[in-house]
Amino acid sequence: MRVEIKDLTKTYRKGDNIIRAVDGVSATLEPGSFTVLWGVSGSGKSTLLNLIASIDRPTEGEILVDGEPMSSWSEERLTRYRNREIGFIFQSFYLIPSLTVLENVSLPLVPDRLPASEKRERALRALETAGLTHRTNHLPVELSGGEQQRVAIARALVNEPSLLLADEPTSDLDTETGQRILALLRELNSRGTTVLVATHDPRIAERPYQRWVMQDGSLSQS
Amino acid sequence: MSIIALAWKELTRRKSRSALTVLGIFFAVALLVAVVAVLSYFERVVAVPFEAAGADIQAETFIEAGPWSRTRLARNLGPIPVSIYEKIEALPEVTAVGGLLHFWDWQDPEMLNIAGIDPDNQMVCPVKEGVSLKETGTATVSLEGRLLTKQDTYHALLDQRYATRHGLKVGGKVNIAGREFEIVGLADLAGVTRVGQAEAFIPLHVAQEIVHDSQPWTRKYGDFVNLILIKIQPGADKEANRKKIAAILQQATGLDKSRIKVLTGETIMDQTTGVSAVTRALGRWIAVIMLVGVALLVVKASLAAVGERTAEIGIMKAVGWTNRSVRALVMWQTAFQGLIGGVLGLIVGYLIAWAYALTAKFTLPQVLIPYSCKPGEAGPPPISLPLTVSWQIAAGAILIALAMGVLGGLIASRRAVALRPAEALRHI
Repeated sequence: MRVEIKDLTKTYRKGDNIIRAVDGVSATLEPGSFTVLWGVSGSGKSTLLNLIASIDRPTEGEILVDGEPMSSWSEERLTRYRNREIGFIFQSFYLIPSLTVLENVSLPLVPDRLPASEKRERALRALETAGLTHRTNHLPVELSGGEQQRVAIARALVNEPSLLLADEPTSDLDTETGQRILALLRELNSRGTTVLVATHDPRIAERPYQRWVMQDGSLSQS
Repeated sequence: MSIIALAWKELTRRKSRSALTVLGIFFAVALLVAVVAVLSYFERVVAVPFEAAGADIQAETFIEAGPWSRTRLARNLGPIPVSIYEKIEALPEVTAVGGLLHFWDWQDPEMLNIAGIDPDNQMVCPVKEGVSLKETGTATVSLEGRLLTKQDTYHALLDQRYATRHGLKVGGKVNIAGREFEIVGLADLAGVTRVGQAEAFIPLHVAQEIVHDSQPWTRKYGDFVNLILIKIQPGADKEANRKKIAAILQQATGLDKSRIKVLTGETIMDQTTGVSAVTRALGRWIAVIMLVGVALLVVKASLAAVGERTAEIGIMKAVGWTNRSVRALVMWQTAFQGLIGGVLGLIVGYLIAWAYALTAKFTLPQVLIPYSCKPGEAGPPPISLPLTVSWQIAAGAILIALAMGVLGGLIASRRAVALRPAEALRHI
């Protein structure tokens, strides 16, 4: 999937001030690429990821997915895009505490009219990829931070998306766990998934990936 | 996992919130079912005495008390010439008309209640062949011996209770108004009191002969009865027909309106059940007000539940749940609450109504049953009906409970689907 970002701007009103979280960003994610979006906290990385994932809507500008402007899509098409084409690994995992690991991973499949056995099989396959098959019936609260992150990754993978967006996937994790998560993302990329990782972790940023740098809502590429 | 399974899981997770909504629905449905079941029971109580005689309407007139004699017309019921049948039968919705001649015979130390019946008219009669009220939950007339036939003269059919009290048997003799009658049958009428009920039934022409002899002033009426039973078409307006029959009776007898009584189950409801129309209406209104109150509670509780789950709904939308799926989740959850509350309310409501029916005993008002009821004498048996569960009430209660749940879910889900994923995720 090719994602082309054109003069994208997202502003928020905070009291009397208007905050430009994303300010005229233009960039392209090529299919199969692995891109690191680096920037300090508050630089607008998460907002940009939310816009690409259609979780939020831009104030100005356009995102083209395989040449199609996202602004022309219906609500249903946007939902399908989020469900089938995008895998989003949230910064705070965003797991539902009352659901088991397997149920959390199955969440994107719940509205699908698939047989229960197939839903389960796909969720287990995603958990296997994330290396967490031994924790299927545990609740998130019973898992370590790294394990919760793996659940979030498995959930993002369960629909086999062509674009994986990861928001600070290694923050709050120890170095070793962070390395493992990164290796997993790399492996997924090697299988053809386009990956965009937002991070302020210099350990990732130093690696030889295509790098976008965000500062005060603006993007530069290196 | 399906949306339904997830909705159920959510319901069991937030036990206290779910229980509050379920409890509200439960109370409202239990009250509603208890009120409706008891009111419908009242309707049965007053309908069954008519049904048991195959009638919908009873008509009678009253005259001044004549001089005392051993044998006399029951309860001052006025003579009505049978020629009036034709006029009543001419009403388009009337399907059958029959009459009885009720009289009392003083048999020291008690009064015997006798009804002259027309064996040719089996349509409307307190003792008739093939009466089966099993479908209405009331007793079937069981008979020892036989019913009266048109060949019978000095033959009698007795109420089994009376026969037992006096040691009378089929084939034996019974004295009525100084005449000997052969007992041809014993009918068990204890299961349900019916209009026109008596302790002894004899052929109408013989009853007329006895009354003519003992009350010679009645001779001018010739072929007469003093109680008319009328059957109308199913679904026909009883009240409209009741009024028409009253008008016919007034015109035919020339009596004042106050001396004419035309009765249906509805007209004797207050007297029979001891519960006034105002109280019944009040009961209905309280149940309806409670329903509305609970419906508002369900909406409020559902909105609060959606508010608490804003973040989760945000996650669901972020991972690609459609608005329809989110709406279905919220609505399934509230529908489950409605269903649980409805089923429990239905059971408890019926238990309350059943307990009431178990202890309730009603007696038909004297205006309907011409028994002599002097202190110490055996009166007509009380009406003691079992409460039957109506599938219409059960289905209605479950539907109302479900509707309350679905309404709450519908309103709450509007808020849920209106949430934008990014906006909802900020609540985490």
